[in-house]
Amino acid sequence: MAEKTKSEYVPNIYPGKDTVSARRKKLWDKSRPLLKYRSIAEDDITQLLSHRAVRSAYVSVHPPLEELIEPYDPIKHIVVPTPGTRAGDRIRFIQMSDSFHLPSIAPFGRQRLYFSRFRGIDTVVYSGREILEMRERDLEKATKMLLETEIFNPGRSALKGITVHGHSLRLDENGLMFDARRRYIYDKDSGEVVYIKDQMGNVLDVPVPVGPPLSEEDCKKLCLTYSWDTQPYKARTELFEMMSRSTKMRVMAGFNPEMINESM
Amino acid sequence: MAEERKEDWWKDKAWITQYLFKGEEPTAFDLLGAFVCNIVMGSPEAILIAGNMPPRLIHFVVNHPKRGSESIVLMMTPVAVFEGEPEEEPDLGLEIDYYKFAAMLGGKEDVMDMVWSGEVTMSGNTVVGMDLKDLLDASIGKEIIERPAAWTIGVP
Amino acid sequence: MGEELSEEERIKRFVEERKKKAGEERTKESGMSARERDYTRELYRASQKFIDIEKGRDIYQTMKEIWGAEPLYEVDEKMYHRGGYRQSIRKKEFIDAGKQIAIKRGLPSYSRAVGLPVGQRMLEPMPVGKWGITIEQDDSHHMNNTAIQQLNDDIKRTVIMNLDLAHRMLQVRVGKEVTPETLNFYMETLQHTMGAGAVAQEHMNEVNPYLVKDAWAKIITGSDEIMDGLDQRYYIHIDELFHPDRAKALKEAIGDSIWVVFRVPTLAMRMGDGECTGRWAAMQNTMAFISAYQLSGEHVISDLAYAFKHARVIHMGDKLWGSRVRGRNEIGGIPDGFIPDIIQCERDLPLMPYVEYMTQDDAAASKAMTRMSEGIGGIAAMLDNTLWLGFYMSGGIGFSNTVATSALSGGANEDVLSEFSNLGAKYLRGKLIPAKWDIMKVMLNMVATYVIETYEKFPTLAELHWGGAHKTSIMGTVGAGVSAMLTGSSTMGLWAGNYTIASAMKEGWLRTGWAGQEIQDHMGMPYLCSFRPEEGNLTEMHGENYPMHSFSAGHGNQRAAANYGAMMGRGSAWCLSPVVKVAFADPHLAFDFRRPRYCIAKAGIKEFMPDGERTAITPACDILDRGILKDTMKEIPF
Repeated sequence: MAEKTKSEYVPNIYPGKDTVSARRKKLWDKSRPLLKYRSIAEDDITQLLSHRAVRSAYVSVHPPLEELIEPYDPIKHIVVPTPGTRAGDRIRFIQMSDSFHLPSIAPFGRQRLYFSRFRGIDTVVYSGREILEMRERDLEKATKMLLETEIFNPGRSALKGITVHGHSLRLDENGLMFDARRRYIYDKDSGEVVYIKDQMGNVLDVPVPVGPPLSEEDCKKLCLTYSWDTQPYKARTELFEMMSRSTKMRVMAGFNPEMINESM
Repeated sequence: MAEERKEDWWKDKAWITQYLFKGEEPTAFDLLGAFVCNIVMGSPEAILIAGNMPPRLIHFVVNHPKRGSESIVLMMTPVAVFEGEPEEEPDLGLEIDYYKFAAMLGGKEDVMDMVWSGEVTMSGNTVVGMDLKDLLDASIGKEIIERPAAWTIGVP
Repeated sequence: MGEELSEEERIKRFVEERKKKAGEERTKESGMSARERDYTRELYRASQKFIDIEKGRDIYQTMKEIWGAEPLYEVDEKMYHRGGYRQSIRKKEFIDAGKQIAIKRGLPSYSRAVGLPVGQRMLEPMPVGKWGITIEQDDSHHMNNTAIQQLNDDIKRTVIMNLDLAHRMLQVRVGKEVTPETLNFYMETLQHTMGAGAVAQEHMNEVNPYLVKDAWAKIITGSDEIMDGLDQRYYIHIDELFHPDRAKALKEAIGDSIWVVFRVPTLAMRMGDGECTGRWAAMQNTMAFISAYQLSGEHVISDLAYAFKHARVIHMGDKLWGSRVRGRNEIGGIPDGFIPDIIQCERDLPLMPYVEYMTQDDAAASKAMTRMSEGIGGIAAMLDNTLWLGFYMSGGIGFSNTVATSALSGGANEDVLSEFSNLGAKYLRGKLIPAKWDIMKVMLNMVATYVIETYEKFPTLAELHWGGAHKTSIMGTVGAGVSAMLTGSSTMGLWAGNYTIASAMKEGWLRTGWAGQEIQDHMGMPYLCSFRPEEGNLTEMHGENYPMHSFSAGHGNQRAAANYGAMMGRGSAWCLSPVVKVAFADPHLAFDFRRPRYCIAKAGIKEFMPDGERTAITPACDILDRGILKDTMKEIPF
């Protein structure tokens, strides 16, 4: 294959010059690594996901790709399979919910981050939750990143495989997002948030600590949503300009793409 | 506005000529500078209103039929005017015809009315547009509209 | 001597010189750009200074009343410590009832032993409207609320027929005279036949009148002369029910035509479906004609029946498409433009465009806005979220119901819209905004960000409207309603409503809800606003069976707000049909279409009496006695 010519185009990723826009630009840019805030053992992640017993073999839904004789398909030569696909893993999920109050990531933020940083995914975005489906071993790897880096605030983001309700509620006395299944609690002795149940709400044999909740100051610093007390949304001129233009283009040029021009 | 289209129109305007030499038709920057120095600074009401506002950055793109477009920035609290694109995101962007701009500063045209009629394209924080209107109104001695509590003067 | 320059070159050089000079000045004044950066941080401090204004808002008081806590505070210290379901009277009743039923029928029933524990958070009371009536969320489930049921029934059991063609047939082809006397006699006969009373045949099965006490028919006409000749009981008194200006406009539009609005018995429609309405009404109407005008089994009868069943009839809803098939007169088939006609909240207000209300005084403008919220929250939200999506489409428990109730309680719409009315009065001064996006967005962005900030500042309001769908339904209503009212354009309203949830809300918070997603709201935009065949249609002619539309809880309110808002924005007395507008002003209806939220609130406290009850033919017994009765039945041999 001919060597790729480097494009001069540098995507802007997101409009605006404020700190929240800068956060969005960072999180959705796969060339910029995310800061690691904590370490969570792989076995703990397996437990939290609750799809297989710790250290058990992965369940396969088809033989490894190497053993499969498939009809010729040029796309298969171009797309390199992920490790999970190569091994024939099942597709499993992680579902996460993020608080409405100064979250370090929010559902559409997750969706865009997942699309830009992961491969072989299916994701559904919703008001209070975001589900991510991947081949099992790929999912575990992705989960590690989701829980260990700056996008996870143990107090205001949570694994909620079921009963996701609570993102919009006020926080509890310890500043944690509401969870009707009480999967996680605040351990006053260690100052950490501890998962006592897995994402489906089944009690864990051994609790899994996921680190202390971020301070109010850090929440504001890492917040991915505009808010009156961080970056007021109404002052985001460039973003409003972009939204207004895209809306206008959809309406006016949706059936007439030839109408699109610079003055729109 | 017809007045502003006459030849040498600016030579009759004291608020402009006190600030500028009379030879060339003033640029939009000159006009805004003259407006700030001679009208805003001369009006205690306007100063009071501007003082109550949070910092504001207004970006004007003024289109002159012959000279093309000119980009100027008005900062409020404290007031400053400079030419060129703002480095930070403006609170408000206004695209306006040069002669309408002159008429607006001269108190002949109401900025919000021009917005509703489509003569001015406004984008960004509309509250800043209301702030600008108040500043313009106060500086020419017009009574200020009492604003609803939600968008009172000083609200970002 | 200086070189001679052409005018253009002179201007060009002048502009270049100025740009160069400006560039030099900028580099000198590096302090300026530092301040530019600083000023953005000032905004939060500036906002904080105005937090007292938030405490003066109606919504602050409402939230305080609902939550019994500081509305602006982000933490709920009592969370998880409220005693679970026991904090709710209604849930406790349900538990008791579940137990009793299980014992009586020997089969488990409602039980909190299964599923997750409810009541970890506060199960908040819901004050509805401003009437001092507080209900619980469960009371607004359509199965628990007789008023919501009656709203559904009263629409589905309505069909309107035109008599002009029938009268012409009688006069020309049969040679009968049609006079006020014959019309009155026909109407008297019709009241009898509508309840399935026999007129032409002897020895028919008739219906217990108590079961069909809600069956009647009334004439709608715009002619004072015709009304003068009629018995007062048999027509809808437009002059008394509507503001004089509205009455005049409606009567002009209806003209000399004679329409009859039929109310088929609630029970009949419920046993069948909405489609039964047209059949029942056409049949009973034809029978009334046969009897009143002494007709035989001649060919005219089939033509009359054809006119009443097909040619000269207005059904409240069209047939639905194959995959969601229903007959006519079902909720999913109601054209969007009929919903503002069904809503009666504005009918006593003077007839003028909304912007003129704003020039009068704040109170008048706020009143118009409140009426819009009343209609949208009490009727449109119920029809779309609770009934169509929550009941017909999803079934069972009511998430969509809770979405609809966000329009019932909390007063977010009213609070924001009254503030907005005040603003519009001052800045628009009676002028309609042209239906142009670049102009409308100036006002729209302001209102949308105000609602967004309200949710951010009031964590209690965010908790009350706890799902994205709740918030989109509120924001869509505000965005669509404001834009439609200011421009008088329903298309602009729909455009603005979609923008508010699918762009403004989504990019601000990076979350929406059922509504506001890419597939429906982004791709659906050109369809919403197009009029060309195969692409779109007049906004008022849209409906649930309109292709490529945005359909989910949160869109219904928005679509209705766009149409109802535009109607009020234009200063029209009706939206799609003056006849439908008059039909739902009928004071005999159990559901009051002028005060829908009041009816729903009253039903929440069991003070609303619906139609269609079967008590006339059921045994007088306790609600739990069914099992016992069945036992006694067993003793009777076949």
